[in-house]
Amino acid sequence: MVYGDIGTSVLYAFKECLEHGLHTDREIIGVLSLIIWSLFTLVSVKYLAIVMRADNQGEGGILALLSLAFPQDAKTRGLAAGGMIAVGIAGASLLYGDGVITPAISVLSAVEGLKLATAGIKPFIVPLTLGILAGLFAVQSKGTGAIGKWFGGVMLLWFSLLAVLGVMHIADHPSVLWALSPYEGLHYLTHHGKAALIVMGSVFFPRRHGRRGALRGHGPFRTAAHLAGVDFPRLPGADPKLPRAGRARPRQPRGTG
Amino acid sequence: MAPSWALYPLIALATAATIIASQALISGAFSLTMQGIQMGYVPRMEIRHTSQDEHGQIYIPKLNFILFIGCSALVIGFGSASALASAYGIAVTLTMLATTAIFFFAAQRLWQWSPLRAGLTCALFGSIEAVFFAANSLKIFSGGWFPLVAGAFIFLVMMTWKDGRTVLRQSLPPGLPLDDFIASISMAGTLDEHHKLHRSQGTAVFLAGNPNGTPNALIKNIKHNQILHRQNILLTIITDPNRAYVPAAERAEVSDRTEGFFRIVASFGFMETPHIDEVIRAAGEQGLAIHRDKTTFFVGKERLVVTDKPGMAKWREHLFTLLSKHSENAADFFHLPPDRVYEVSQVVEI
Repeated sequence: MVYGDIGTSVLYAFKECLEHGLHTDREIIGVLSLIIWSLFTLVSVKYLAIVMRADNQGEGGILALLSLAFPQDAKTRGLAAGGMIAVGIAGASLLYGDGVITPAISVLSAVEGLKLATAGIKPFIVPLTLGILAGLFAVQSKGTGAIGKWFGGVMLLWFSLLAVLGVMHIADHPSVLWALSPYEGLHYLTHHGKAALIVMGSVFFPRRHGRRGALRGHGPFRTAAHLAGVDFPRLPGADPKLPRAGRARPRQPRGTG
Repeated sequence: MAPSWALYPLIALATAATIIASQALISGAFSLTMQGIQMGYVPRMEIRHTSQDEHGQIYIPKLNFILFIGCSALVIGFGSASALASAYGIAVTLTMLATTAIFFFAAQRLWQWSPLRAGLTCALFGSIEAVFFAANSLKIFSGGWFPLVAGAFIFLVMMTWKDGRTVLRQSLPPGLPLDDFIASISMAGTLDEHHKLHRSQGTAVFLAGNPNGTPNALIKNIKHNQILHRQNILLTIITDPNRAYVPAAERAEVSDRTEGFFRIVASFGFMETPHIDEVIRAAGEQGLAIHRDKTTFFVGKERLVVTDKPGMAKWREHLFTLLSKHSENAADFFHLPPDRVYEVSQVVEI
């Protein structure tokens, strides 16, 4: 569930950055680099390469990790264990908050995409969203194998689409590839500390389409924004570089917090 | 950036993908809750398996309803995705920090990492996460309060449930050791016809929380009804908080305690939902046949009374009492056949 969330909140940092001033190409590339490397470290290195290996008979999640770190009934359990168990339970409790926000925000934002097509849809956005949510929760009792079957296909389609569009735009401005260098991110971090903080806050700040006006910039900014998937109906894991969704899914039926 | 004819298909695709992403979160919440129930952090709730072959496909009706209400309230309350966005992020970054902290201990225990190595690794992740958290904390007042308030409430419920069960265990009157009880039954058997205890036909299964004591329901049944069945099975169902699955061969431990008394200790992992049929199957393999529909299942039920006795703070004891009242009863949770269940209640002061 943890890494499920990371990709759901795509890289919509750019609007924020625009508001807080992004002027040069170097800054844009720095921001991109910062996002790519911070998420890469957390998602790929921490969760996929390390924490997931600490599974309990194949079961992951914060409570399973907790039972591995501090087995119940162990004689050696002391004050530290008691404190860490509280920390683990707090972590699990917090996941419910995000567990409620994620369906709400993702369905709402997808439905808001209809505004692009028909302006008249506006008053119906909230009722329509509630309808879709009601449907989603109503089918839970029937089992969710069917949704699971669709998962692979829909996600493959989505990621391919993003990849194609991304490559097209990278081809327009290949210089954006400098963002793959961690040095650029560090450079940005050391030169624009406060802005970097805001950018990193935005990584967990899922934003969406409807920013066309703001994006009528030019040059690399547009490219970078497009690369990050702004100006496009918001989607989980809009960055094809992130392995999150693909890896998360096989475990999903038993997946945990 | 995409041609205009592609708009509707793209919105449809986007909606499909968001539904799938939401599904991952909902399934994750079910799974987390089931683990929490089995580990004793979350009050018992009905867990249904929706798939025969996929073990992890579960459905928790109560939680589903709560999540639906929560989601709808957020959509109505915040009204737009961008308003909701400010509520997002704080919880996940805090959970990541918590995971890192626990991982520091898990790595040392599991892989014998040195404290230095575990410390450096966790410091690397922790520092990135701390920056993410600091960044997200900028939006606490614009919406980030929601997951914090919700999380604090759930934390309170979980800790109270966990501590409450410990207090409850300590408050239960010390039961008569089973060996002493059986010895007294055996003595009663030698009495003359007139004073002999009546042994009725059939099997009685007593759910017993404590694998060494005599269940309250058994004693009450003799005291008030003068009834003792020919065959009595004392069943203790344990969830192993340290194992996700328990192999079928290790499921049940059956011991013959003479005088028609048997003791079964059945273990399940924290990813398994205990089911009486599975216990019956495992006991059968060990030579103890139980006929599900010819057996009476005696289930003890504690009625809690909050008193000044030391334990938890009074308001937490009241909360625990409330949670107990609304948690699913053991008979349903273990899927006992409803028309074969006999509930015996007991007042417990906490």
